[in-house]
Amino acid sequence: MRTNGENCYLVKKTGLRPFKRCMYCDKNVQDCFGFQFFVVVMGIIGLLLVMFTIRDLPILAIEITIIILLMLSFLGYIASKETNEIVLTNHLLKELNFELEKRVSQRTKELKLVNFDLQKALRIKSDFLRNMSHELKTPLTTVLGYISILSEKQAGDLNEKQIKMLESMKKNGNDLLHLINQLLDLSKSEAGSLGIEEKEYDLNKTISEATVNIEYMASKKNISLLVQSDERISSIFADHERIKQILVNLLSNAVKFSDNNSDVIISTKDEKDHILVSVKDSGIGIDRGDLKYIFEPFKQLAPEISAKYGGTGIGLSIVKSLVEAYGGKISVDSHTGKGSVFSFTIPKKKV
Amino acid sequence: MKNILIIEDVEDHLEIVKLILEQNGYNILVATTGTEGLNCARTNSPDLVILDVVLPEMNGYEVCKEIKNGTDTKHIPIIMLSVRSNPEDIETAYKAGANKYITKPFNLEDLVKEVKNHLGEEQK
Repeated sequence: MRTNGENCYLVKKTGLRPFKRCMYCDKNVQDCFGFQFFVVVMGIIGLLLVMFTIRDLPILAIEITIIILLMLSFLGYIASKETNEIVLTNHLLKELNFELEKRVSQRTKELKLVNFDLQKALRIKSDFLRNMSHELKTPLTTVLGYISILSEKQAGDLNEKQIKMLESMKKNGNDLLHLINQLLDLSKSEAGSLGIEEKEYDLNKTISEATVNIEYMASKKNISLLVQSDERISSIFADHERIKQILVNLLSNAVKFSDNNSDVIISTKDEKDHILVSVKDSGIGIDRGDLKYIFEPFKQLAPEISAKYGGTGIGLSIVKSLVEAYGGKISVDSHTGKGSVFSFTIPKKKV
Repeated sequence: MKNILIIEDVEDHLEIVKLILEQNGYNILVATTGTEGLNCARTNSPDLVILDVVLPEMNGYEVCKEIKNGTDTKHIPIIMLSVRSNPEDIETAYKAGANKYITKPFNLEDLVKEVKNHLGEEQK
């Protein structure tokens, strides 16, 4: 079989088509077996010569013996050829299998290395985001601190125009702080270290605190924030600050994408093993094709929409990470032009 | 008049905290490095310490631990102020013995409230 080593090598070199390759091999194999056949025939002729020299046997018996020997040797040739073909094919398949396994393990090794590099890059990015956010907070502390001191007239009296300017500076400074905190949360969610501190709390209180944050934004568009709470729900065991953060995010989106003079409804519902909280608006809605990307970081709607409404595209991805961090689920139901309903669950936990 | 020691290396942050606390009638001592702050706490025994985390020479956690380990200083309430908001940073601060951890940027009113609270003063 080693004489066919070269053919096996051919299989290695030319790739993954074993059957075609085996047929190619067969020709050589046949040549090889032709030699065997020649040996058998020569043997028979030799035997006949011996028999003729004996001469005692009748001619017919000699003829029959010759025919039987010929048939036997022919059958033997066929059988040996087929057996050898099977053995050869098996051998080729084994070689091929070995080659494939080798390639798979090689590729796995390469993929592991790539994966390791990717995780390292992700960690560097998260670390960078975290450090950068902290670095940004240092000057912002100075800016917001002096704004507060100035607005409280602790550094002297101010005229109306100056007060108005300071108010605007304060609002924008706080918006900047909110963005920095979102970046921090994004890096924490990527590192899987969003801190969740659960304790017993009144869900209605959390909702009203969240709406207070949005009231100013809603009043500017004359949007009413309506709360429909399930009377069966009183206190829940959850992270109050994180639930509030989720609600503020969903509410600010709802208000942002709603038309003037409309309603945004926050509802709660007690469902067997969890509480369902929904935020419903009658705004521009989300295109069916965009729905599946809506919770992915940095995904925004069509450029003309994001240009009009602004935003970083990380709010909803943080919301999803937060909900999942405490073991809840988030979903969205939306139709273009008819508004959206974002719902998330809060699992009921024992106190 | 109660003495409050502020250990802070960012000049503007020091100025803001100093301004707001002076306005509320406290006497202010300042230090801009960890070791200077610790020495000041040991010699002057202030009524309260406001402590930053990132400081030259000795970080805020170490200063906090030292103050809380000193027989003459362990009773002094410490409010830590930092831009770091990771749960592990906050945990480290409380483990070091901090009485309160406030993240920067902070609300000035909240800071004054916490100071009064830890000095056992009645609030309006």
